[in-house]
Amino acid sequence: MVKTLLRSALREIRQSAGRYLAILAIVGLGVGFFAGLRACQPDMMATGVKYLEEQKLYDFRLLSTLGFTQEDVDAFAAREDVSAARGAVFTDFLTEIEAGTQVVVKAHSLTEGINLPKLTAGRMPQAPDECLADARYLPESVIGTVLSVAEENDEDTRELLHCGGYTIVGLAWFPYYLNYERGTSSLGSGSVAAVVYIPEEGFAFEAYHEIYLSMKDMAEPYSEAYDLRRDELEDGVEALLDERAEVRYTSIYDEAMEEINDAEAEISDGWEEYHQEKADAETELDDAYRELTDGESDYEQGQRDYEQGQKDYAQGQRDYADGQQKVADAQKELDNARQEVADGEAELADARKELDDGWEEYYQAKADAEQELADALRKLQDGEQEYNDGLADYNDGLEKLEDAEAEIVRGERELQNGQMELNSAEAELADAWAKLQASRQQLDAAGAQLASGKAELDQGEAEYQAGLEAAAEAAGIPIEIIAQLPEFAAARAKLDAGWAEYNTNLSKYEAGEREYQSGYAQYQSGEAQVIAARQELQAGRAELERGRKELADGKKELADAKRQLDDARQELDDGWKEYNDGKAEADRELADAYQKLMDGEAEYADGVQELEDGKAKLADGEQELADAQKELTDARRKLDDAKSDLDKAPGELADARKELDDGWKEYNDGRADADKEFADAETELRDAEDEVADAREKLKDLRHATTYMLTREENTGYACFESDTSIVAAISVVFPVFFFLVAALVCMTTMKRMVDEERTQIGVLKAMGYGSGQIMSKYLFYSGSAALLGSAIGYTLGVTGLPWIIWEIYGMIYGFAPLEHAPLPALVSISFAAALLCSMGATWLSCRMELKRQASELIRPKTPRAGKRVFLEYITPLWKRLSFLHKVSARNVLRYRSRLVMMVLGIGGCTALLCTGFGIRDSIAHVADDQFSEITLYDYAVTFQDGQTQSSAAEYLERYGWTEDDALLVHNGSVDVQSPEGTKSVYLVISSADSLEGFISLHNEEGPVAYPGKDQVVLSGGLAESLGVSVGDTVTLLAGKMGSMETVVSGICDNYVFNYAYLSAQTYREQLEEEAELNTLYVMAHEGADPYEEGALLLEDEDVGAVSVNAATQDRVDSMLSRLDYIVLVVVLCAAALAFIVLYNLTNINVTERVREIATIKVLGFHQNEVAAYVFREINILSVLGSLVGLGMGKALHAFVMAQIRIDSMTFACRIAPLSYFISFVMTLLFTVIISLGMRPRLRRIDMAESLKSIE
Amino acid sequence: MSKFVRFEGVKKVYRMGEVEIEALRDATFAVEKGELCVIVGPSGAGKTTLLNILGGMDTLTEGRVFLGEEEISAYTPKQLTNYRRHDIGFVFQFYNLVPNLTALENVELAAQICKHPMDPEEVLRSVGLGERLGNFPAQLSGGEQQRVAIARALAKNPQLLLCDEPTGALDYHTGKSILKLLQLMSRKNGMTVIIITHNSALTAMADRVIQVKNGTVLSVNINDRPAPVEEIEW
Repeated sequence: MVKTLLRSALREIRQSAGRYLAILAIVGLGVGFFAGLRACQPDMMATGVKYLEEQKLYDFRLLSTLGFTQEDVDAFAAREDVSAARGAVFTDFLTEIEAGTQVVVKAHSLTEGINLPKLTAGRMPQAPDECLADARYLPESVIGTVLSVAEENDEDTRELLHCGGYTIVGLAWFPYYLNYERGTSSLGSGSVAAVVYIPEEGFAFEAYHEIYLSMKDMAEPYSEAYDLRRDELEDGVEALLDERAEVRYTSIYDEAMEEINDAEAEISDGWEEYHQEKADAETELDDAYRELTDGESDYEQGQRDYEQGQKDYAQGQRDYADGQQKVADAQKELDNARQEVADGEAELADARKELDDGWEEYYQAKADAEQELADALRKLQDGEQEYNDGLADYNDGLEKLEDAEAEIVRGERELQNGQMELNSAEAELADAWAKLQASRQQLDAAGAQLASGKAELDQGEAEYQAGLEAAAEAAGIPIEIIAQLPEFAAARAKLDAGWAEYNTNLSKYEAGEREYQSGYAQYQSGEAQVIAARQELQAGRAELERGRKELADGKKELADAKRQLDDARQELDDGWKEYNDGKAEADRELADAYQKLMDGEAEYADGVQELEDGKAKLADGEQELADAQKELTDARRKLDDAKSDLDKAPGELADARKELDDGWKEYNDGRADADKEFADAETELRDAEDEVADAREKLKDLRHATTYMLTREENTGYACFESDTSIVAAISVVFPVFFFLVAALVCMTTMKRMVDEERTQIGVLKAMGYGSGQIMSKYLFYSGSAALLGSAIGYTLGVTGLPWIIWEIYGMIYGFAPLEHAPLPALVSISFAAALLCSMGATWLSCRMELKRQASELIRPKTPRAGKRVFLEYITPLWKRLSFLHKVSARNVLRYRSRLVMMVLGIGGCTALLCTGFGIRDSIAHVADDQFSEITLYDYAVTFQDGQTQSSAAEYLERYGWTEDDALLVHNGSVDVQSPEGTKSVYLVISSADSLEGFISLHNEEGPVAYPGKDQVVLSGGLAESLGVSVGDTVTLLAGKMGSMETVVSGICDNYVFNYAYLSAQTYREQLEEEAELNTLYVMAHEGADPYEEGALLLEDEDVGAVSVNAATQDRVDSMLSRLDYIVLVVVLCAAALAFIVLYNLTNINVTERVREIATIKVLGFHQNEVAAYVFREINILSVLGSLVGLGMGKALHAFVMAQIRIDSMTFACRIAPLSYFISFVMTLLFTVIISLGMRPRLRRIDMAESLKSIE
Repeated sequence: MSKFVRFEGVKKVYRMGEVEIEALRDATFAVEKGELCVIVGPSGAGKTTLLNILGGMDTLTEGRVFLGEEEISAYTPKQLTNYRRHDIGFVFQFYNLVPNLTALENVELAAQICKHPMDPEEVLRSVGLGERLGNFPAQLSGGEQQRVAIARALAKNPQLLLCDEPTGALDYHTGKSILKLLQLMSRKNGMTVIIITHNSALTAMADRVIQVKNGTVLSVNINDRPAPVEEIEW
């Protein structure tokens, strides 16, 4: 490609990223799906192969009814083509994994180098009582649990598992059990809860149960080469197996025979010995008896003698005791007397002392009393003296007081006189004062008259003088002349007379004044005399007051002194009285004491005399007693001798008795032992004889060994794995084709649109001389690179993701190891080639037409595609009713056919996928529901320890209060059903009542299925299908060792969980010549009762081995199937991706193609919503159409997928619920709405100016 | 007569990244009701900007635009849509018919969204397409398509008919007939018609000629005696 074009192409990619991504995504989705699904089977197979090779699954498994010895194992190991041979043992046993629930566990011995467990937790067992447990069924928490072998296990099992309990030390996957199946068991309910592997030492066994062989030069498991090589080796192994089986038989037979012979010889020896020994024992016993009888009579004589001696001794003893008593009494008396004498002496001594003390006391008391009295007397006399002094003082005081009182009275009188004198002096003084005052006033008035007379005279003088002068002046004569004039002389006279009167008056006044002055001086001296007298009087009064007070104090003092004196007198009188009393008493007391002392002296003298007498008597008594004692001692000695002789006798007698008893016991024991021993010996011998007889009989029956040589094909897990993994491969065809188709369509429409857009550019390029190929290369590059990138991403995600998811889902069957990825070079090339073919092919197809045109034609704008009438328009009534916005949509829808197809396929595909996804859920999720609500109607099954007869079962029914409607007795076992197309191991159910009515509903779509009659069998649907049989075909039922039955299929019934074959008891009886063991009871729980509780209760019954509650099974199945939800999720995600890509692409094209149209209607004034409706209506119509088509496609796709999904032991009803259809439809439309909403902003961004542009 | 369309100092600046382009500045003019106005100017003079603004397809930077009493320049986007819907008829240079609708349906497309539409058939008849109602655009000639476009614009009964180079894609004669139709519509129905063209020959037929150059209004001339279309030559 030219560089410029490449650049142009790259730029194109950048500018139209959405479109590019759409191609990339759809191609990625297609490739992812295709490659992912395609890779599943190889990946799973690789995982399985790796696992089997690593864990070294056996190539051959050998079984023999007689078991194998180590020599047998060695013989196989010695073969050249065998790389390893290991003997192994296995057994089922009842135990409790969770406390309280008894389950069946299958135990295998660990084999070195073959069937290696793959440890997932914990460690490998190291001790015999440790085990590895099943990682599939048990959680890690069981590590540490001890699986104890329950009591209910039979003896053989308990012996085989000799450790009694096995501690789980690790969890592991076991290659022998590749899938979830653990086989069935004859114990308990028949279902095996888990498998454990125990070290070989943990088993106590005589012979190996099986041998595993690992062969040399084996090809990869599941390969054809492997099968070829195996077939090649088979004959050799089988031949050796038969040979060893024969050897084993012979050795067992010979060994047994030899043992029998030895035993017989031993028995006859035994008899002989028995008889001999019996005789010897008899003789010995008789001798012993005789000896014992003699001893008995001797013993009796001894006993009698002993009793007589005892009696004599007792009498002596009594006599002695009497004597002793007497001596003791005498002794006591003497002791008393002696005591009395001693007491008397002591008493006398005490009396003497008392007397002496008394005397001393007496004299002391006397002296004290006298002293005391003398002191008292002296004190009294002193008191008397004091009193008399006091009294004299008092009398003196009294006298003085009286004098003072008299003086005071005198003083008072004097004072009164003084006062009176004073008062008269004062009155005199006041009179004198008043006289003085009057004379004063007279004097003052005279003074004033004098003054005014003087002033008048002075005036007259002055007037005279002035008159003289004036006249002198006027007359001019000297004054003296004038004065001589008459007038002046009269005036002179008058004046001089005035002056004379005045002078008289003045001397009178002055005499009055002198008189007054002397009177005043007289008054003043009188006043001073009065004041002095008053003061004197005052002082006299104060002194008198003082005297009076002193007198009162003196009186009080005297009164106190008087009181004191009286008290002293009283005291003295009391003292006298006391003194006299004390003296009298002391005298009396002293006299008494003296009398008493004198009496004591007399008494004392008597006592002394008495004592002397007592002493003499005592000496006599003592002598008597000594004699008596001597006598007693002699008696005692004699008695003691007798006693010692007697004491020895009982011991001797007892010894004799014991000896005799022992003798008897020995004798009896000996006899019993001998009897028992001989009886035992006899029984033993007889048993041995019987045993030998039995053994001989058994040996006769010993059969030659039946051997089986099994290959891996007979291992359920190994065989199923191959077929199970191929399921996905089948599905992987349809889905990817579908996706690739849509991818091609997306590419085509996209590229076509692109070429249309770049038409002019192509024309120009062409005109410039580029070749068609070069121009084409740009577009091929565009789509090719998108496809390549998409493929790379899709492939990576698909190949890693899808197988992982599928493996997760398969985990409920396998899941033994993480998924391996197988290298798939072919798949890579196919995926990429298909992707490129799709995208580039589509590009080429869409470019080819354009490029064929002439350059000139291309440069011109493409003539707009003519509007066309669509068929709808011819239905006028309908068409007229459509608004032409709908008309436009209708025409557009039908205008581009490839888009229509792409849309319908894409959207339809989306709906179809959703339908399928939900449909798978619908089909599978209800399996458990349907099974347990429509088919298996009973609530729980009780499995008995042993088979029951009708009557024992009836008893059982009665015990738990069931009627025949509540419970049904059946045989429940397993059988292999064989048809020309294969063999299947299924559950066999035989009803004791030839009907299962009410407990299991046998029906199919057409109605009820009749219970099988003679030589007929009813098979469950899934079983019939996988065996390829239908009603009327013959199948063989293989019942293990019991043989086989030929039966005709009389009906096929619906069944979803597990596979069942139903048979009549008659067929079983007649064909196998044996009754079917009725081991199971189907029970309807009592109304309102909890089946679990009822079941738990029943388990306590010792006849009941197990109870399986259907609700529990239902839960288990449900949880197993819930993993299928992954499928639904994957499908929904794919559907969404598909829908989004297709819708985005179409919308994108629709919008870009019609930018001009959209701009125009915007200019015309369409609102946003109207514009959106105008554009998207078309897509909505296509979505609805596509979804409707998709619903149909979904039904078909679902049917196809369901046909591919086959899980052994499960049958699925193929159905899709109406709700699922509805949800699928709605979800698809929802995707459409989401895309529409997402594209709205793009519409909004379209510029109206686009409408003005010229057409390019 | 009142000033029906008024531009007052309109300025439009486009911003393209860093660059600012002044497409229109100080554009002031008025058109009276019932007039046929031709806006003429060379390419890039700002005619289309002017038309876009008047047609409610674009906003302006400065100034005010009135139609009657309404100020267009103050409208919200939603109001602008309604304005286009009810008040404006638009005739495009390239007709812009919806290819999937017949002539009649194209007219109906416009008629159905407005309040007082004219009868689409009648309108089509009035533009001389009475016989071609059921034809798809691809089955019509350019002139016929433009007539359908005009009919579509008229059917909305707009207050203002805007024509963007209505003859641009047509030949001489067809162009003339279209112009004649427009002149007739203006005269007969008293409709205000604004034609935008670079062809100055068309000015002769106008009542009012507005010359635009370099983003501004150069002159506004009233033509007292507009010539009949037949007399115009170019």
